[in-house]
Amino acid sequence: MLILEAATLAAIIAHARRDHPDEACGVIAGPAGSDRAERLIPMANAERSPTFYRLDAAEQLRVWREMDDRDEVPVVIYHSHTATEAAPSRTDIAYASEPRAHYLLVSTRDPDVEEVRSYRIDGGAVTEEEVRVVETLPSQQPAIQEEPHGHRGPYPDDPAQQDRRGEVGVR
Amino acid sequence: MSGDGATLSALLSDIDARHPGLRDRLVTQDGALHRFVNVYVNDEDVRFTGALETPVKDGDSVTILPAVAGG
Repeated sequence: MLILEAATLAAIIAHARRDHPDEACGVIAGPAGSDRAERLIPMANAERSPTFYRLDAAEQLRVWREMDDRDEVPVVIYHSHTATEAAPSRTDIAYASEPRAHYLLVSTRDPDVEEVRSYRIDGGAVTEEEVRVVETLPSQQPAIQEEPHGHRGPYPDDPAQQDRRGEVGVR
Repeated sequence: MSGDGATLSALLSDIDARHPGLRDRLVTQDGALHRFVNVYVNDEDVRFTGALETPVKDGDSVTILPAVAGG
């Protein structure tokens, strides 16, 4: 499952609409190992094409190095399809080289319909996943619910009943 | 990792001798760089500096990134 902030998703769709009829592309960076889509980086499509995209090599080096410096990875790699559905093309699958990334596709074929889908692509195998849109990403370290200590059996910690602990079905 | 050679091609062959298979992942059977990798010498995309014949010298750094591309 991919969790996206609503503002991030809106910015990606706006980017895709702006570059239509050419494909738009970019990444969302997040801390390594976190799977958190935190920092949106819209990028140039060096191909400027309605049927193909490729990150500009110089920009990619700069952005990848910046992610390295910040201990981030490309959590999401997104691009748009401008005349077809938001599903990976054969070329998308052939080029996909980040099995840990979420490949987010946006289709701009219908100006009135938002079509956004996400996939894992690993060695030619494509798996669609749910996209959950939230106002803000969950906090980085989910609070660990500690188990309350003490007796949790059928009888409360009442001294009068302690001798009955462990009894089952006794009336 | 480090290696020797006067060109990117020679350098990749030198490193391939110690890490077999590396060159094949970057270079096609026809002896050209694969389209789906980006190779940089000192941060310059080698597509603009002579591809595999890009000269390299002591102290140069080579960076390899998978191209992010599709249709």
